Amino acid sequence: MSVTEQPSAPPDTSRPPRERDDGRVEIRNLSKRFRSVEAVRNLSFTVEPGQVTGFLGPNGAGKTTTLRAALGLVRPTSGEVTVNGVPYARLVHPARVVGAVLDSNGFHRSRNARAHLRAYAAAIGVPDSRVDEVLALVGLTGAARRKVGGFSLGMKQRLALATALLGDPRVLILDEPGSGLDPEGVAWLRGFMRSFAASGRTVLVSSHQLAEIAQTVDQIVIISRGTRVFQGTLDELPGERRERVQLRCSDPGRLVTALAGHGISNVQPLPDGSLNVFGAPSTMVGEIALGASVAVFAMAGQRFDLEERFLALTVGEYQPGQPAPTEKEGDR
Amino acid sequence: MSAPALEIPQYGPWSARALRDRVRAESRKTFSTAAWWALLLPAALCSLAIGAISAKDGRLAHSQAIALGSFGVIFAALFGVVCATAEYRHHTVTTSYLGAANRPTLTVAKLVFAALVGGGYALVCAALSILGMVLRGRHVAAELPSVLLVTAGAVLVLALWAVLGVGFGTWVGNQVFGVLVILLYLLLVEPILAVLAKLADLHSYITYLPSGSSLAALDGLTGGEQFGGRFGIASPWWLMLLVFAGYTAVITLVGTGAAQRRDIT
Repeated sequence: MSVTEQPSAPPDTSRPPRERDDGRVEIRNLSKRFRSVEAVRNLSFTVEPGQVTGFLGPNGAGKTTTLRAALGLVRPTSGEVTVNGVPYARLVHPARVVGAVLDSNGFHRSRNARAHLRAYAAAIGVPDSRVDEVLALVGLTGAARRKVGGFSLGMKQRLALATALLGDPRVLILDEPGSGLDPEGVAWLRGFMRSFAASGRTVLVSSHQLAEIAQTVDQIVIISRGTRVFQGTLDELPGERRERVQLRCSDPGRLVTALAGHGISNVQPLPDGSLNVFGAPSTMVGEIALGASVAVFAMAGQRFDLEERFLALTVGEYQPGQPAPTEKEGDR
Repeated sequence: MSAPALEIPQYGPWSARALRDRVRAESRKTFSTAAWWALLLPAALCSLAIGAISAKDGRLAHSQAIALGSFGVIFAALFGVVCATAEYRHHTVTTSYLGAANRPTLTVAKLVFAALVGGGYALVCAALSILGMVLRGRHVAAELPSVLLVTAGAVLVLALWAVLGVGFGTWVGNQVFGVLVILLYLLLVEPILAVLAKLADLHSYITYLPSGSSLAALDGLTGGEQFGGRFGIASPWWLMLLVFAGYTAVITLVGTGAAQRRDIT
């Protein structure tokens, strides 16, 4: 939760810390003020290697500012961010350590994808063969000689990822990477992030929607109005756990009775004859159906509490004139 | 990841190898887009025209200096501005700084590259102005040494103007603003100052302004003729070149400092 102290060499105050190779990103007491706007306030958290860390918050919560501060693009008003133990600007070969996808518009429209990558490959001193590797990796080989101006948003996202991967980095930082990707692209990116983290590397991915990254992340950090409101796993999110099981079965009436016998009374019949069962995991519903000799044809469990618990922690950028959400939605 | 891990090089960000890599990156950025020839083309055509028109009489080195000192300078400076500000216009500065977290290393690479392109502009414009003279039937061979001397001076002057353009572009960031300021300054501000100074009998001071000093350097190389009738006192060309190099250095330092503090959002 709090900033982890590094079990590093005995403190050497005379010399600045040396660059490590652990792929750990540490944000310590970061604050950033843009003129009158306090974008980030005293934010601290650590991003560990070997995991996908989700960085969540509503629009305007300070996610992008935090990520850009981590990458040396924005100067903190106070506090610091280190990667491998040193500020980004002091990394000797930054693009070999960190790859970042920040926005999908960082391209010259009339430059083709391959030329874009070749320029940045040269800038960071990787061989040109790496360009074709990353193009193939993100599935853009066929579009390599097309001008980026004609690319779809999803293709630009892929090219941005290819650029980030040029230096074969140890840390991957992605700011809202899902926007613009089609479902297939989103699924591919999930798998990519998982395998990247599984190889012992670090992934930090931001989103304003928990659902978008819930399946991918090991850890989440939630910020609201520039400060951290939660860090932990999804299961540790405060608030009531709620699940909904949707099922079709041979005898809905008997199942409803059986469920009521087990104290599960919040059951909603749907017009097509299927049932929505609230407040019980799908395993339990299945056991009860078996006990009541009701055949289950189809069953799908869904957690619909996550987004609600996420929203309860955060304050959106724009506050419509509504009272704060209460329990009124209840177990309906 | 399946790809074999790339070896992390041992050299630092200020090593010659890293600088060469970054200059090569700048070259790839420039030559994969159209701005470099779109700016060279008018400069080259104007040099051809000036070479042809002014070759009727007078010394060839003189018309050479006019061609390079006017249109060559403008477009070399604009190239520098565009080279630096295109990064902001197309938001590529984010990626560029991610690869060059030590920001001055990127600026220095741009300065070196722009100097090379500026010198290249000078050579192309010089060649075309000579072509213009030849087309008008002038015997260039007889005056070749002085023509080559001015060309060599113009390589330095245009390289410096391109460097100044990078420094100024890095300073202001905004491409439209940067291009407008350079154009207004070269086409309006200094010419008006020159006229006013002449009226006030202060015209020798004009040679200490940016454009004035670079033109005076070329003028000095032609043998001290009065460049465009603007200069009364012919200072040594190398002194004028130093004055102009001073302006270039100051603007470049200011630009590098501004870039260091800028938030890239």
